[in-house]
Amino acid sequence: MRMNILRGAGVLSVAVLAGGLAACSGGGSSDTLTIWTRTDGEAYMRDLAQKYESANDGLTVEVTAIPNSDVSTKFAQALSAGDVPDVMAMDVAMAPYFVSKNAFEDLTDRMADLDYADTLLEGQLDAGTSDGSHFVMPFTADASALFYNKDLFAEAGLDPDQGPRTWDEFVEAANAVGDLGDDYEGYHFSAGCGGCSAFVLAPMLWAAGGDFLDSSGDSLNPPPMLDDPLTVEFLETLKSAVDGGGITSASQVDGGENYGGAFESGKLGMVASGSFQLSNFMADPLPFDLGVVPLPGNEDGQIAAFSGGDVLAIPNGAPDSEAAWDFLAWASSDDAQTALSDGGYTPIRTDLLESVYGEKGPEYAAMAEATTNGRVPITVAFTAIYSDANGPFVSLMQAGVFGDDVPAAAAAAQKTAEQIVSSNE
Amino acid sequence: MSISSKASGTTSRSRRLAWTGFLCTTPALLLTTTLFVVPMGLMVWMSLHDWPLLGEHTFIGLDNYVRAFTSDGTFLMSVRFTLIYTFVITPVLFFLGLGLALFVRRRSRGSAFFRTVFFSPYVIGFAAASFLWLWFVDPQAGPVAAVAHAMGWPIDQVSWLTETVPGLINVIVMVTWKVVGFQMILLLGGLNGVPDEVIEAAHVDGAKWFRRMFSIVLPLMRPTIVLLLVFSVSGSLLAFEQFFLITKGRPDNETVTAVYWIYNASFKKFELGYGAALSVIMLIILLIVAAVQVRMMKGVGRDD
Repeated sequence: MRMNILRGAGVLSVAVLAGGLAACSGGGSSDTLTIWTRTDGEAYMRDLAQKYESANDGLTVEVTAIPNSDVSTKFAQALSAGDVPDVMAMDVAMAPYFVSKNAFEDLTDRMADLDYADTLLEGQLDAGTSDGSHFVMPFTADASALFYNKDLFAEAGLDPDQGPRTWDEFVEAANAVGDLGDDYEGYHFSAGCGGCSAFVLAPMLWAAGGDFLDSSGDSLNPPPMLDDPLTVEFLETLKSAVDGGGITSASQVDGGENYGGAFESGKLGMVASGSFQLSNFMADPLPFDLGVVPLPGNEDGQIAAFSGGDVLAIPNGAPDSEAAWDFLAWASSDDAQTALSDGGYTPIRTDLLESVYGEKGPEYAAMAEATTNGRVPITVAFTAIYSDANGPFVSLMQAGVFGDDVPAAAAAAQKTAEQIVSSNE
Repeated sequence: MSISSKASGTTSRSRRLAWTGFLCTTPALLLTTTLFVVPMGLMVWMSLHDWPLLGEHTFIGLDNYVRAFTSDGTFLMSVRFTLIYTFVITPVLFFLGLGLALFVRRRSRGSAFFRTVFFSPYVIGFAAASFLWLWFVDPQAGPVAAVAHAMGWPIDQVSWLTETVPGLINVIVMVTWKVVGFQMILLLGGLNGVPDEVIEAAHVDGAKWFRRMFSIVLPLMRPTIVLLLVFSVSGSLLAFEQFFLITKGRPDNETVTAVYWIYNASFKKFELGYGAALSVIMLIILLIVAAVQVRMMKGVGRDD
């Protein structure tokens, strides 16, 4: 009986070994370009991959889409294991963290050879720059701007052709629209989603000359200034819109699921969103007149935008670094960027923003202006400080904007943020 | 074979049998070692380091543990919250489960149907149940809101997602709906295990229903009850998904549970060493709780 068992075990183990070896012999083909992207960017990445394949006979492009929330972890694990793709397309806000960990190849020299090198979007380029060397290639831009419902503005007694140009005008407009009725919202944002709130609110603080993190130095790990007087003033301004009925509890509980709020249904006065939203609105015409203006600071003439979107990078240890660079160069060229612009996405070339993109209409021109003036909050702790639903920025939104004591909320958030920054030193 | 060697069990045959028995357990031992012992050892090792997801790890001794108990106020708050949650929900689940078990015990035509109805939420995962619940209590799109509007009741549903006590109650209601069926089934089994003669004798002796239940039936169900409490308490101490998805820790991280905070430290702050230390602390808490419960179980045997 025992002999039978041993014999059986022997046969089984040989079979498993044979099967394993057979599977191993497949191997990777050197005519395959592997690209990882986040699911938000999957659609256009696959489109571009197809275009690139048809322009390059014999080359196969393998696109893997990773859910947004998993990208950092999955990519970090891949780096530790040494099993990285040729090209990594990631959210620009995540770039500083990986640049600080030496995850990417230095692209400075290769980039300098491109004839459109100085039209690449500065905001995105800076996010991947360390000590003067560039580690990321801008890919798609997604700048935040303010969309408003001109019809509702007229109804509320505001000038429909003039979007808010200062913080005070913003609050006034929000409260006026909110007063139109119980189910009307003046302004909506996702206060439970750190990345989303930063995308739409940080520019308003930047435009006024302030910031949530002190980026005046070149540090990839800047100290927080959440309790700075200007920051507190900005939060009090937002709170006054909550107190005045312009911003409702619908924003407070929104964890990012309800990005556009009730805008399409015509019950929301203003919402700040990105270029991707603009193309949605243009594709399916809205039942009202749409206005687009850059996000304002606290004085007339001050504007800013959060330059989101994706950047491309070549991870250290990529199987085919040369092929990867060819793709990066092509993806930022006129061909690919014009194709993206035609598809409704925002290009990262200032020349194309002005010509191809901006000429599609006044709303696009406003978005182009916002994009050119776009910035990225550069910090290695973007996830821990901004995106984390349990982090200091979301606390600031919940306890500050929707709470009773803004200075106390700001002080508490500042303390937590300082702990995070020092643990990343 | 002499009698003495047989008695002492050291015959070559019995040794061979013992050896074969041991060999048969080796797959299970191997599995346990690789999937449990090794990772646990690794986790304890990691907890003694500053171990970021990317980059070098440095040995820092017990600094992570010191941090957990001194400078990280949120961790202690989360353990406290987890204990409060466990203390509140355990009796709720138990007595409701007992009530349902008594209800479905009667041999009526509907009892099988009701058993299924009460048990079915147990089979969906906590994540799926939490998403379902988010829709259910949504102030705009959910059925609770629809019913409240229709009846003209003004209810503040926003506080169910953003304030501590309403949020806790909200999650407790969801978890109760989901797992009470399991408690019911276990208690039903326990109830059926109590011999009818004992209950009849008590009835004849003049004991009222309440007395019968709490002085006779429940004590006789002790093994079942202890088993049930082991499941219930350890499950509640490890609660994560429901708070992660429904209250998201609001307000101000007051509804964050211990495991939720471990997740945050490991996958948001990428501090794997610190997350490991917190996990070790939770492991010790769970071991203590389990030891107490096993003690209670052992007590039962002696009573018999």
